[in-house]
Amino acid sequence: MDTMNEQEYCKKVQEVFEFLLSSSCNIHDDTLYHKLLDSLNGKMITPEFAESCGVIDFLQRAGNNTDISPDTLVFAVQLVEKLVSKLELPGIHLDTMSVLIETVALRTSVDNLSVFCALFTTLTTILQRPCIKEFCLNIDFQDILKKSFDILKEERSIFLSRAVSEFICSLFSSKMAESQEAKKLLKELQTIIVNFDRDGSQRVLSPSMLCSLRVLEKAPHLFNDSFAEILDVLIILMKIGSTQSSTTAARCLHSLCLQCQDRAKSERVKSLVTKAIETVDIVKGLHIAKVLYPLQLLERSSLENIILKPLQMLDKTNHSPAMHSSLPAVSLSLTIVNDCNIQKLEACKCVAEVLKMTENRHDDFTGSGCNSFTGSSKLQIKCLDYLGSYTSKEVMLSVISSISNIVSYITEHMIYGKCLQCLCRLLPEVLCSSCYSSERSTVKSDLSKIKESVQRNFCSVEWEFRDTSCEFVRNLMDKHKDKEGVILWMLDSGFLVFACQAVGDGESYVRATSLSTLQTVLLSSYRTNLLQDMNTTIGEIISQVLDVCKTDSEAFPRRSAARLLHHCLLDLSYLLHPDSIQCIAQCFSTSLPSDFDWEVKLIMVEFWCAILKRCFDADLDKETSDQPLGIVVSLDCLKNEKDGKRGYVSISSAINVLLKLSCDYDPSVSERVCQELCWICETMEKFVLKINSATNDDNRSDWCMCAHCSQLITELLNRMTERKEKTRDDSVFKTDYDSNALSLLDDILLLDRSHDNNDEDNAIDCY
Amino acid sequence: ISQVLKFLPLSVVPKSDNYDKKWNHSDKEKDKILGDELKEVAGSVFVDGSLEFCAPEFGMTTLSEVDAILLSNHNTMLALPYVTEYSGFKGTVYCTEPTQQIGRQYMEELVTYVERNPRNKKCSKWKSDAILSSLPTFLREAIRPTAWRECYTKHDIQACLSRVQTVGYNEKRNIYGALIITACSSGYSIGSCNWTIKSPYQKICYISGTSTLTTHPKPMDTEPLRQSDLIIVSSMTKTPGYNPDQMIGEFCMNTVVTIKNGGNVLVPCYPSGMIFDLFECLSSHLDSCGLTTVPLYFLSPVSDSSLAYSNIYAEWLSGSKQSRVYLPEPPFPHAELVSIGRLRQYLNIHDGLQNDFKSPCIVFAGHPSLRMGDVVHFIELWGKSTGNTILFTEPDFPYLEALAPFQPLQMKVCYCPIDTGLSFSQANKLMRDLKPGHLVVAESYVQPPSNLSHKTDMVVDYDPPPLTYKRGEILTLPIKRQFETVEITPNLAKNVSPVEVKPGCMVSMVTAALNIKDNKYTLELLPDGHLSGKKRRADGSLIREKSYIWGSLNIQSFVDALTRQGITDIKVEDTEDGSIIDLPNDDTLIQVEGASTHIICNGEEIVRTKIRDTLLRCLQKL
Repeated sequence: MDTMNEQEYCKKVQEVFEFLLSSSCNIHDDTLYHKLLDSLNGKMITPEFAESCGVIDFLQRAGNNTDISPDTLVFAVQLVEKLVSKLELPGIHLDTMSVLIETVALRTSVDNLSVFCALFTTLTTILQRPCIKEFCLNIDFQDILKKSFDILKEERSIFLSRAVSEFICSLFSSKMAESQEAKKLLKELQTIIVNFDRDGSQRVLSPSMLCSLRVLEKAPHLFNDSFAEILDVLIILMKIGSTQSSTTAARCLHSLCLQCQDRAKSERVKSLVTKAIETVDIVKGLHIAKVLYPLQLLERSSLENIILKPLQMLDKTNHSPAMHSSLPAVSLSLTIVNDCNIQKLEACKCVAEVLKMTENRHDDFTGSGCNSFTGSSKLQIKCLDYLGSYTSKEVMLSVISSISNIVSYITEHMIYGKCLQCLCRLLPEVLCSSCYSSERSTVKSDLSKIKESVQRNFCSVEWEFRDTSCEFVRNLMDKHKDKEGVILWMLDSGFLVFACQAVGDGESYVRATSLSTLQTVLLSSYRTNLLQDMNTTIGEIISQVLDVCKTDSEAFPRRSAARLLHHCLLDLSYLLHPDSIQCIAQCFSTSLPSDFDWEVKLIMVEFWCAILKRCFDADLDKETSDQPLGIVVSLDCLKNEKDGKRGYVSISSAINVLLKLSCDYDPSVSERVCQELCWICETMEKFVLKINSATNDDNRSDWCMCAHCSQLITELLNRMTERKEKTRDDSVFKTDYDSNALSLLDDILLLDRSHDNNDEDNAIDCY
Repeated sequence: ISQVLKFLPLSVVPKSDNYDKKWNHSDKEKDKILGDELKEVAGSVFVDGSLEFCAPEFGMTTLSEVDAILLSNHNTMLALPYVTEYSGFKGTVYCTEPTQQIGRQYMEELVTYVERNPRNKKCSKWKSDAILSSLPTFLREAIRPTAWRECYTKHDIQACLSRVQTVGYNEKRNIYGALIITACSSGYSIGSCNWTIKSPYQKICYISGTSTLTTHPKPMDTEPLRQSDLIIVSSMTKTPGYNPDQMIGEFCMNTVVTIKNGGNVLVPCYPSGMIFDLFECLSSHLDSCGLTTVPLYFLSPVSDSSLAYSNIYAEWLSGSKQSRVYLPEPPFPHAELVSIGRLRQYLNIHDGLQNDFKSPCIVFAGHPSLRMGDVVHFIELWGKSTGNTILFTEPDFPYLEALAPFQPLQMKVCYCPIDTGLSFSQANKLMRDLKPGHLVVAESYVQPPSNLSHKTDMVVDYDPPPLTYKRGEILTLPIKRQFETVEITPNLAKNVSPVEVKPGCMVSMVTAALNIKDNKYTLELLPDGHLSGKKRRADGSLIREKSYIWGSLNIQSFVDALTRQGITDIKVEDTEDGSIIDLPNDDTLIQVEGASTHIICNGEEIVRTKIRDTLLRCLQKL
């Protein structure tokens, strides 16, 4: 910001502060306060600037002004927070701020929740700052602590309780932890825990108890004096409390145990926790185990037993849940197995068993084999999530069997997708297993059933199924590109033909996925076999994809098509017929630049940049220039585009396209192009230097003398200069609030004036 | 019609040697009697004779005495010629116009199939009890085969349809003055209806072939079915375990899978009804899957009229289809499919199909029983290839039995029955909404279907419990025609002096002649010579004229009247039901209640008479 703007800014900020402190201030839109706060936070880089803007004066007057609106008071308190956390403020400024905080704490009614929320949030921040002791010199810290404790006990609004709780927790990790006031408060917190009602009547914890437990969890060493009593309370809480209370108690016990120097005490904690988990009901036990599993308070194996218990208790012979394994318990157990990432054989077996129990179709005509888990999509998703990340060899075939049954009747595309993800992961191992080659194994028939189902879903009425099937084929080729067995299985299934045909699907998302699949096919090392299976050639595919680029009405397929062509030309140009290259280049130079979709344009920009980069690299580096580049974008083309060889891409047309796009109506495109033009311009300047020095090369020495090239470079440089100027201008005065702080201040001041004119209604009408 | 499954198919292309293997009876005597009536194909035994059809059971009722037959939809009229032409029926048949036209198409298609490739041999030896009981189960379980008849002729169809009177939805038709019948939309097919049968004081509804789903016909109209004394529900879905929406999805999916794999799809179908929805859904799904060039062939002797008629019945179609007519566009998309040549219709395989035929394709052909029609040819043609698929959508025939004579079959078989008829849950919901006094259903509807015995919710459930009927059983409906509306001639009305007995209700004595004509009742003046007022017994003696008292007794007036009669010391005591009047001097108690008065008189007869006369004077008379 230059000096003139700085002065104007300071002046307007002062005017705004005047308005905020006036009794007439009435800003209905509180986002203006937030924006002003953000703006000031960005601008206040030195205490001096803050002073010159009148910020310190504003805070001082806000502390003395009793008529100030609550919103402005909240703003002032929040401003203190921002300044203290950002700047190293001199003592005099700290005094001003502490006076404001003291005034707010003493004079404002606690009923004014937003002010007190802001106050305690600010205090929490200040506690962590080095200046806290200096700051506290001017305030009655004892009184603030008392007030905070009273708020907790009174169980006021949840937001206020949370802010106070944060403040108290921060206190004991701050420099003020050793203060007498803090010690006194700690005693009270200890008393709350020790005096906890142990008869079970208080299942849901009060805010003061919750706060005490949070402090205990964060700083357990402070509670050493009453270790035994607290341990007793925590164990009781774990047994009789609500799920939330039990898990809080479990975390506290872990903290308590961690800081425990005495081994006997630590063992006692572990033993009591173990016993408590055994006595609580199965669901609560699961919640506690979930909390303790990553904390290593107890042996993981014992916790795994608890977590897997509902799954192990299922009556596998009858395929019906035993007495204690209700659906919620099994579901929770599966969630925890997933969350805790228990990748062990026992867990895997249990999950596979649950999946098997869900697989019978709900409207099974015989009705045999139905249980309460049958068809439960909730369980299926959890099981498949787990098995998608880990499946042991022992259960692999069982999982494949379940998947084959589920996909044969599934009506939810999400589960179908998860089944295929799981299959995609397992397939290489299954195909290599001895069972697959064994005649007696059912895995072949299971895989054949899956093939049939996937084929059917390629033709499903719901596009999500068709899309998921296409995606599956793409994933198979992408993830197992080197695994011949998988590729052969896929070829045998005929999926590729279906995926290829989906380019003409009625749903744009399916067309897009199909094109992505085709791209994977073309880039695969088994390309020849795959294309043979699809009974097509690379040329036919290119022609089809070009057609999509030019005629598809939806953006998604066009994006996929553009990506495919991009990769084809860059990586497979040696396989392409010159005509195909010509068509692609033409498409990228004429059709795509006028596309309506910004992402298509970005793909095109990437394409031209990649082409140019290769060209420049090749010409700058002797070694690479000797090697064929496939499409060989030669500088000769730049020299005389009319003589460009058939199948070669013209550099000048590439730069021309980019130049045109630098003025695109979509800023995301124009900005990206301008960024790219920078390096292109730099590289071309290097060329000029290099070629000028290469006097012995007649062919090159004259290219920069060519009128066409000179014009192109001149235009490029002009555009760069324009952009630089524009960028410099935009950095200060954008119309956006984020970058133009003055307009925000003007808007706030306009509120003041409109209020004076009493013309608010008209303003709204006009607006 | 399912009995045709017992017969060998009528091949379109003759000299098929598929069905030449004679079935030999283990008993040589019987085998000799049987001759070559039965043939064996892939382990199943079939009758190698002309197709026979099961006519209605005429013995149950004297059809010549039946005045009217109400047809609900085209599915229920295939046997109509047997009734109108061969049973002595003299009444009238009522149905909607589309039902008549579509029914005609169904009947004509059936007759064409039977007559086009006739098998002239009539087989009846296998039906004799002695032989039938020793035949394989499939034939043995044939119901009343001796009553089976040959197919009617086109002449029969013409004659039968000349007895039909068409009605519009909600049009009232008087049946001999006795009843008013009205057809209301049942949402099942074009022109399908439910019937309300009303007398002045009773209303019965007959709900048959009804759908609450949104398909091409006009939606079901429930309003006329409310406030019924009794509702009879029949023809619910034949496939309660299959959801029609899912089945359409399955149908489309299986079709596309086959086409994408390069195979052909064969859909056995009727010439109308669900096929229109199939055309619409399938063509749209083929578009979605990028198969816009796959041809659809529709083969039926009535394919041209079926497609044409469907597009002119706009007022019988759903709202969305009707609105297309105002654009103006044909209501069904198959009109456009025909115009662009994607859907091509042929009367039979020789109707130029071979010139246009392009594979892979989708062929819709009749008959769904697979015993006649062009479908037989396509199964024989495509059955050997695993790439082809036959897709069953009509629920009328068990598909495995239908396929039995074509075994061994290599082509894929998919069963996606689409029956939009009422499911059990829909029927129960509908009845809870309509709240009829009584509900009558077939016995099979109050217990779960035999193949879904564990599905206890698949029953019709109603309070009061539904009355059930079964074959051969007569059910007396709990509804009696107790009252009739009687008109009074103006001349007679002039002489009547009605008395208002309560607000809006007037009563009068009348002596008149009751004239009944065409179930219409009229009270007229007595003819001359039959003077009113003097009624005589059979022996000629006069009957004393009786008067009828009415109204409630005013206690105070009665007490005053008694006082005037010289009765003194009258005490009146009010009770819950009325009053007690005590006459202690005469040792008498008079108990007056709402509808009765008791005089308990221990005194003299004169007192009793005096009280009676006083009481009668205090009441009003007719």
